[in-house]
Amino acid sequence: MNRKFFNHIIITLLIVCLAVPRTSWANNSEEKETIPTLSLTISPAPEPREALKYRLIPGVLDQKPGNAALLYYTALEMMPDDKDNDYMEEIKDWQDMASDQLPHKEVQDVLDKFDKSFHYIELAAHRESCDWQYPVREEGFSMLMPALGQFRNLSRALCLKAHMQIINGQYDEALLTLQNGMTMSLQVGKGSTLIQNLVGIAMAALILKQAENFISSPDTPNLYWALTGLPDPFIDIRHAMEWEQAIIYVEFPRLEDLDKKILTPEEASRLVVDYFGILANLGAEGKSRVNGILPALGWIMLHYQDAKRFLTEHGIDPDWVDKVPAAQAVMLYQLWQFRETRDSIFKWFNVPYIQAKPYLKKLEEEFAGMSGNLKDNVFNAILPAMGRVHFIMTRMERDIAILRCVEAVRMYTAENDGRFPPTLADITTVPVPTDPLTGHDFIYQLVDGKAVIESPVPPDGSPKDGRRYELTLRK
Amino acid sequence: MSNQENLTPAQQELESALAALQPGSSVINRDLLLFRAGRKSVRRHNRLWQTLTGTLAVMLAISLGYRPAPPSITSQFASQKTTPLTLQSSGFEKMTFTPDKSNWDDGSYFKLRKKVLEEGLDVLPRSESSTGSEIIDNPASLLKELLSS
Repeated sequence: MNRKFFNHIIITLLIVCLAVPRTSWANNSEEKETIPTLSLTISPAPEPREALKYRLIPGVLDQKPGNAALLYYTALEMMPDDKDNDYMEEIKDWQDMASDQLPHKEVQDVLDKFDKSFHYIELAAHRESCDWQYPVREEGFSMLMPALGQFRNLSRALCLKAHMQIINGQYDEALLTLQNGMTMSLQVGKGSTLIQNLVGIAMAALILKQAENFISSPDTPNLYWALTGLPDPFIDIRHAMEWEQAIIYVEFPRLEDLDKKILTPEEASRLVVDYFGILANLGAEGKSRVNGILPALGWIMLHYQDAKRFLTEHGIDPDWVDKVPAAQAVMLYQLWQFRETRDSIFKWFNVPYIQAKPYLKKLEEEFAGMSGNLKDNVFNAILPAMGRVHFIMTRMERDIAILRCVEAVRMYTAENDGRFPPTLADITTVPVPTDPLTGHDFIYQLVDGKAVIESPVPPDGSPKDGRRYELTLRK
Repeated sequence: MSNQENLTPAQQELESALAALQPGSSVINRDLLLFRAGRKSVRRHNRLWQTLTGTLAVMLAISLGYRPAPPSITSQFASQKTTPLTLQSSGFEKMTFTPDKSNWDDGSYFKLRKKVLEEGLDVLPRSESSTGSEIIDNPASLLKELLSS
């Protein structure tokens, strides 16, 4: 056996090693390509005689004056101690279980421990206002928000309660629980911060899952108008984006009038050093961090010529630029450049997702190429990673819209002797919503006696971003 | 070696004159010349940035180190003799508190936002319930406990 023979063996083995994982990955990726499909067995349900009889948020007469936030905090305090039993892990497992698999008694025992919390949630959900009074003006980026994670857990417990009520046929009680949960989601999510918005969306998504269970239970009323009565957009991100835009000045008020005065060299150098100190305290990463006066000096010199050119191009008097300390010129240049970058992203949140998508994708590609070195803009470290935020907010609109579509189909079947509509256009009693993620109608087809409603996977999305319902009529 | 037999009288005279000439001392110092040539061959450094950096560093050090005393304000009342006012202590002192937030944990909005946007909502901290103490949710029993303490 010569050397040539062994070379052949090695090459063959290499090819096999490369091919086998690729095949496995291919198989896995094929599996992962499937959109999550939910099979719902539905009963026909006409539009209620009083169309707005059923609500997912309380009406004005059901609300009382007061600040719901205080009662929500009480609800959190009333949660059972989770240190020993880890209820939340059990609740997470149970909330998706089918009725015949659930250990009903154990579930009820756990839910009984949350009784006080549930009661305070109901009180809170029927308050006219909810003001969390987060001190964002004073604290800026340092603001603490320790309770948000617990609200999500509380929402899971509430969803499990709704799940049990639906299983037991207690539809009125279930609807009230869904109303409380949906209102809590809205109130937790309506705030000055992106995180609140995202937590509110996540909580509402849990409630909508129980709404699916409700819809697919025997002889439940039609929730088309209850779903349509939800706010649109469900949670408006623009208020939080206003604060994201302004928070740099909360954190660093000295930047506000940097172009209106001439600092002393000491003030200007201190400005730079203090800013980098704030970045360090925030844990903002990046090679653009510098510690200490001498490195700051080097950073200033690195950017000074660019700063002078940028500021004069932007209409600043060159004499003024020459007069101000180099540190001030560089900070002003970096600040104005950052504002241009920030606004180039944030402006797209004022535009519907399907219109903003191509522009956001292009921006994402541009920023992905940033090298993270000393030449980068130092303020970019505080920009949030907005990649999927617009999509997540719009996905909630999609989840509501597709359920409205399901309810429109239930309405049609009630009016047409239990037959599915041939197409969505055949539904004329109520408008059928379009898919906010695509701007088009939902995909609808009849397959083997089932009605399939689908929201396709968005381009560049993953299969779990799609949604498919297979509807079977209950006999 | 001259061959005087072949030279004309004029040439002989020229030869004699040339032979009488003495070599003059050289104006070029060889060692010095080599030294200077070597020095010139070294690449010039651009001292401009070094000079600027040094100057700025010195200016910064001076501006940070030297802080002139604020101008003294001569009170128009300085000449008046006044009895110092003595404040009766109320037992309370005004406290100011500026917390050092650099020691706070990762719960700040900035760090939380970064984690959530990168990793999802599951990274939200689960706040601990009241440490060890029993939650008293009945106002009557709380009042009883407070009154008995």
